[in-house]
Amino acid sequence: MENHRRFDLLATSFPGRLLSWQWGRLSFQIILLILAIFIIYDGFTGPQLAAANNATLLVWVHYRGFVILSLLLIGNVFCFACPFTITRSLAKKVSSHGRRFPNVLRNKWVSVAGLFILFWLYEWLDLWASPWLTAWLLITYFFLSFALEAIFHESPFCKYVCPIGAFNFTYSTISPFQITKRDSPTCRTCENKECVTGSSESLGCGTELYVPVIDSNMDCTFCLDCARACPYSNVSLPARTPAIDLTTSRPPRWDLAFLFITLTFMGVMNAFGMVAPIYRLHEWLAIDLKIQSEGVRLLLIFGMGNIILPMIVLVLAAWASRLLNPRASAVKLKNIASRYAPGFVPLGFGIWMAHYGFHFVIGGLAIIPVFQSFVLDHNLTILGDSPNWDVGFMLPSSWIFPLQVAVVLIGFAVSLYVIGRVSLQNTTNPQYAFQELLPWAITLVMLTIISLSIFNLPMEMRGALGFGT
Amino acid sequence: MRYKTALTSAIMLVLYALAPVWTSASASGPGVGGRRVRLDDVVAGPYLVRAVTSPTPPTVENLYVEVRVTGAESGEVLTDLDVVVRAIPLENDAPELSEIAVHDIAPIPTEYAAHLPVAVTGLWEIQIDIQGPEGGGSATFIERVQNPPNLSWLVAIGAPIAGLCLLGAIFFWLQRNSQQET
Repeated sequence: MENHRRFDLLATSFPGRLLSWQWGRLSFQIILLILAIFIIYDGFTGPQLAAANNATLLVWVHYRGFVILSLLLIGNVFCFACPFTITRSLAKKVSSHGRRFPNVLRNKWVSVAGLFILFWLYEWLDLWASPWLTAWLLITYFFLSFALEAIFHESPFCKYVCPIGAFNFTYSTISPFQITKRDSPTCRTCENKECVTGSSESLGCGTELYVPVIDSNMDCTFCLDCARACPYSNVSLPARTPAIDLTTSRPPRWDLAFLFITLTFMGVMNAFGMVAPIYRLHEWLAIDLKIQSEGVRLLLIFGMGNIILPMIVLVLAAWASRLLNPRASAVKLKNIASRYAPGFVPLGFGIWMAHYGFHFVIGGLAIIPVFQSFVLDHNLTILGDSPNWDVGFMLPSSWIFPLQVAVVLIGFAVSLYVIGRVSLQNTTNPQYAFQELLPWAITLVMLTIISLSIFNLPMEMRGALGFGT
Repeated sequence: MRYKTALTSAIMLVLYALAPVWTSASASGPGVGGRRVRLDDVVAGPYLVRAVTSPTPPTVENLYVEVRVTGAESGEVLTDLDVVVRAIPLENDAPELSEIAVHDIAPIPTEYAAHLPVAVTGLWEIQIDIQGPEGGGSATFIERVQNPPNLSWLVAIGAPIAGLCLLGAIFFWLQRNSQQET
């Protein structure tokens, strides 16, 4: 993607200069670090009611809302300003620059496992409802990033472990900006490859991406270390066609294909965890199957929905694709799965946006009274004598549900476009191309119907009901 | 090939037909997600009352009120009181509701909770009455109740299937064009 005419964010005086400034990233990280410390503090010391505590509100409403919006409008902004990597950088300085991350773990399976565990704990321990546990989650994150960086040479936490990173990497593939080189000859004649190896002034890419060959936002933390390290100022951050990543061919990998698909299923299951039918399922598991532990029941439900079902779908759809296209009979299932799995990203993003966007719109302004309350609890009256709990929504309430439906349907439409393009890239005969994409398209149709059905149900008050617990 | 297409499509549809069954049941039970603080330690006689509603926004048949009562003097959370939550319609003739708030359905065990199946949309006054050894108290707030989401199956099912049909039509058109060119 070498394009001199495209709008380049790094070439702007603002925010371009600020972003590529030597301390630019650190400035944003320090802001988020202060915020993280504030969250941990209020999580431990503030009211243990989710709706009245900054920790739960900022993490489960604002963070998720801002992440989705920033991925849609800019890119992987959270990883750019990630406060957890500050301790990581500290670890790098104190560590002996030890081993390479084990080869067997140099893939997305660990982060998929992390995502699964995170969503399971989220439901089981009601993380969303506990300021105290939310604070502990942040501390765990700081500890993990520090420990892994201290033990291993490169930045395995971001690339291979971090569940948040896996989520952001995946959905930054639809973002409108991407790191690339300004011109090819400069890179061809570059001897030291500072963008990846680092320079005296800046680290190189922590996830070991080499700028001249970057053709995707996958694994890019937007840290801009490459831009700071490049002695020729040959790194740019131009605008691009959103979601263009998803139609470019990439090396076939089961782990990546599974990540794309399971994140869509996780989006559905995360929303499913909030509506009444999951309680029917709990009831059935508790009463008929005598599974008394809520944790075990949730493990079964989410194991089925987030791991087993997407795994079956991935393999079955790839198999059906191969069966339906007579010219693909010799193609490996992994290759077909890797081609079409990125097509789930737009729909998955639409589902997450409908869910997180909903919470953000209805709960975003609650930060005003919650912060007022925090200040009052510390005997300061600079923000008034009493919190204003009557704040409304960010948008008229009648808009919210139609917008949720719209973003899911737009995601679905883009997903169909992606698999349509992918199929035509590999098969010149449109009939065979359509037959090849059909299993994936049907899967997308079903997931869209299920998602819309879930959003059509009112959310259940989780934590209010228990079966055999 | 048509047979194969039909068979594979049928398998995929059957596989997924199981999933929407989960979501076909309508929601019920007390309260729905998205809590919102409505009263924050408001004085009600000898007590301080914190009230939280859910869902946000509350919908017809689905308004859930959680109440924490604290002794105004002692500052202790009180759990042995009689707490009644009333919903009084302000914009219509719907019947007034009155429910005893209990610990059993409260997410926080030391609090009281009541489910109010408000029948119609509009403004409702929510009144919390407390009776206990220290005396009685009352606190109120106003809540707007809305209709729950109601998506037509024509959109929920029809739009995705229409998308698939459109994709099929585009590929059919491409196939015809490519045949004409050859």
